[in-house]
Amino acid sequence: MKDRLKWILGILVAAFLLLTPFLFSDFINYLVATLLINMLFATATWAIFHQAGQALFAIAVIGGISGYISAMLNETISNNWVTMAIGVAASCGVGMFFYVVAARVRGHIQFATVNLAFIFVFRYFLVAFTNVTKGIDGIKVKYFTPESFFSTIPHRYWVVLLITVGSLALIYWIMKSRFGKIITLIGRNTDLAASVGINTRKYLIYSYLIFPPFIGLAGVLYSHFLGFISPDTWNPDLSLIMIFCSLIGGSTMFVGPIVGAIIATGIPLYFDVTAEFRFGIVGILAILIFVFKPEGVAGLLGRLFHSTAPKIERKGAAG
Amino acid sequence: MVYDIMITALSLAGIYFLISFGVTLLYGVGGFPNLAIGPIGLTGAYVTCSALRANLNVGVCLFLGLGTAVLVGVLIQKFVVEPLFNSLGGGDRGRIFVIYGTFGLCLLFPAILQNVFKTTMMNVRLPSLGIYKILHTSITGYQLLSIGIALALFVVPHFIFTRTKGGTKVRGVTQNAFLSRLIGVNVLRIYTVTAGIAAATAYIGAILWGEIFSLELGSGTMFTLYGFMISVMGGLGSIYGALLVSIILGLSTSATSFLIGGVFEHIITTLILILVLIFAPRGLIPTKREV
Repeated sequence: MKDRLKWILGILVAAFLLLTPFLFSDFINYLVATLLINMLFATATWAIFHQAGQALFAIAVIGGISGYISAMLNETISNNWVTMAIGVAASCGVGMFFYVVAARVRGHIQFATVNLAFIFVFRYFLVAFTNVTKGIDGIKVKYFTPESFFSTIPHRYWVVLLITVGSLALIYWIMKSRFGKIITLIGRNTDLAASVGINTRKYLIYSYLIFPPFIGLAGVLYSHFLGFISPDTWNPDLSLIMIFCSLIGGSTMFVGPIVGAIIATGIPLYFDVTAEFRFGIVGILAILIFVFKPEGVAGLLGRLFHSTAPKIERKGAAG
Repeated sequence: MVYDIMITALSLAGIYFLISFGVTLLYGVGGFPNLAIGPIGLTGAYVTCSALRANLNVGVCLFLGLGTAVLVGVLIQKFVVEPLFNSLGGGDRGRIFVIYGTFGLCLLFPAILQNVFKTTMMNVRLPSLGIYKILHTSITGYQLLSIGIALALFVVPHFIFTRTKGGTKVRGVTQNAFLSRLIGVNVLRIYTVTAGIAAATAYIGAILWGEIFSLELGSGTMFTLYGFMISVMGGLGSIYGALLVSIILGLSTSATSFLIGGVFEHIITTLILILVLIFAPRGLIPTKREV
């Protein structure tokens, strides 16, 4: 019965995502695509932050650098898929840079401060090199290639859907693999992992090489989907909201950041709050959930699902 | 030009030290990384500016601003920082969540201030303290005051911590809060007083910054960032380290601003942060604080 419910739920979600371009307006398509990109941001953040235990939360910097590199290369390379790949590859470099800093800096607070500094300085960096980045005016980015085909939102929506679902499946597979289990152990207790003979340094390097590209991918997807990139997109709020997504959804399970991204994107829309207070509502919700229900919304739903499923089965058997 | 750079550097160092003092004190005593400290000081400064606009007495305006900053600082300590820290049983993980919670507040404050005060920029219009000539260059009374208050903040706590009974208790809590609680020290009261002092120094820093430059909604975040960077570079919890780094950053900011351009100030500061942490991971003057 539980499996059947899971399948029904899965089919409903898949049907909604596949039929969105046919059933809803461009605005809804845009919102769902943004939600999908946020899911990718949040899940990649969850993997490096909550599972690998690395206080890397300069999400806006990693996503922004990838997005900007792809956008700037667009002026010389006409094929966007190539520029996007270069942008994603660049996020490996950014990840390695943060690994070197993390390996050298002692303590979470120090590393968190470095992250904070980068989050805030990124905007100034973009403004300082206006001749390349176009400063606060931003860069008009070409849509996915061929541009004539992807000029409509529904067509771009398919790209976002395909890449996001593929990436989420890949992250899921990574986390279920031996590597994922080792990295989770390192995140929970580095000393214990080292004591059983795991080369923690090697695995941490891999995690800094593997997860930031997913954040970079979300960054390039967002900029090419929107057709525009500016410093305002990569503001400090983004980094924190992605961490809050895991806290809202539940940081111990894969679906946690996905559920969290739905709530973090949906609640401000539902309550029709202005952009400044969007962050406040999400933040307060995340902290309340974390303090009072650390398992998150996904954990609560899971518990509800497990407690109702046997009842349904029993009722079915009795009937 | 060299004198201009030096004078600006010293006054900037004074303000930086005032801002970082709160961060350093809070971390040094309780191990709390409160990122909302900048916006707390800014809130008090906005209250003072609004009261000045309403033509209230200057002393009353300053008192209102200081009182607001201290009240907000203590409330955040009691209802955000301590519950978040204790929810994970303290330690490094507790601190990380205090960082997120207070970082969230830090980003939320500008929206609140804009809605309450209906303005984005504020000018602090305190009575002039005069302009003086030192080393062929002029310095305002408030620049001198920022240097003076910073020096006083450096000397007075040293005296309090080493020569008074209360200071000894604070040192005890700093070294081991658990043992201090066992021998009857009211640790929570010490944390509250520390939060109040930190908020007050952040307020003074914000007021002096506003008088010398100007205040805007993002200033609080900038104060926090600089406060933290200075505190981390100096060695978390080290007052001496904070003073040394304040001087270094004052010089670098001033020189960058005069020689390259203001937009590069924050980039150079971040580069200095990375270099310091790579070559001195525990800061320039590390403390022996027990976690």
